[in-house]
Amino acid sequence: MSFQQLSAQLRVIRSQMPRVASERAYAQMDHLMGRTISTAPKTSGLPSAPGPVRES
Amino acid sequence: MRDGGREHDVRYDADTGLWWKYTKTNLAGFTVSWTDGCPWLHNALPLDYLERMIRQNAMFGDDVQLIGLWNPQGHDWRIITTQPHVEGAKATLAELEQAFVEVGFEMLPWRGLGYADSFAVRKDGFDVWDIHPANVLLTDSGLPLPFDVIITPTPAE
Repeated sequence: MSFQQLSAQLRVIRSQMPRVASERAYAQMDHLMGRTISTAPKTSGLPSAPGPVRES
Repeated sequence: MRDGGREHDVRYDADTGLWWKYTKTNLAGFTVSWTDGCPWLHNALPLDYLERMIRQNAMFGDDVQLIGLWNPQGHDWRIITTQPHVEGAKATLAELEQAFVEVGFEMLPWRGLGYADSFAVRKDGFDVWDIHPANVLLTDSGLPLPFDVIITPTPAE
């Protein structure tokens, strides 16, 4: 499979991803990274989007 | 903000389905360079980071967008990008190896550049590093769905 074909297929798949709530998104990230972290928001001073700050 | 992460601090915006990713202060993630035929991981320059994001979009159908540079005080800066959330099942390393090979990637012999047990692959002039269940999902059809890998050009022979 060429990169063009792979990218095109993945672009379609990504476009069909459901929009999920914050709790689910953070839970998946923690699961993938193999960690357990409180979902309590922290004050970070970072601009823009709301919600807790995590590491990736 | 939490301590101990590698490349970014992140927030998820449920209204847009986008992750907001902030590089660690005064850092631009990691990249891989070569010395005497051996790859090594090191801090990337901002240009390396931006090229990596461009390759992520082009090669893996992503939609990473550069928001800008954040310079809250003094000499501190972060690169801010957004990236759509992806859903999927957590794969094993063996499943990820199989998925990359099935779509034509060649396995590279070096491991651990990034996550300790991560692996790397090569295809059509590019090397993909730090392949690990934390950085790549599998689609329902079995395709690898990378969202946080390191992509560098294959060095000249």
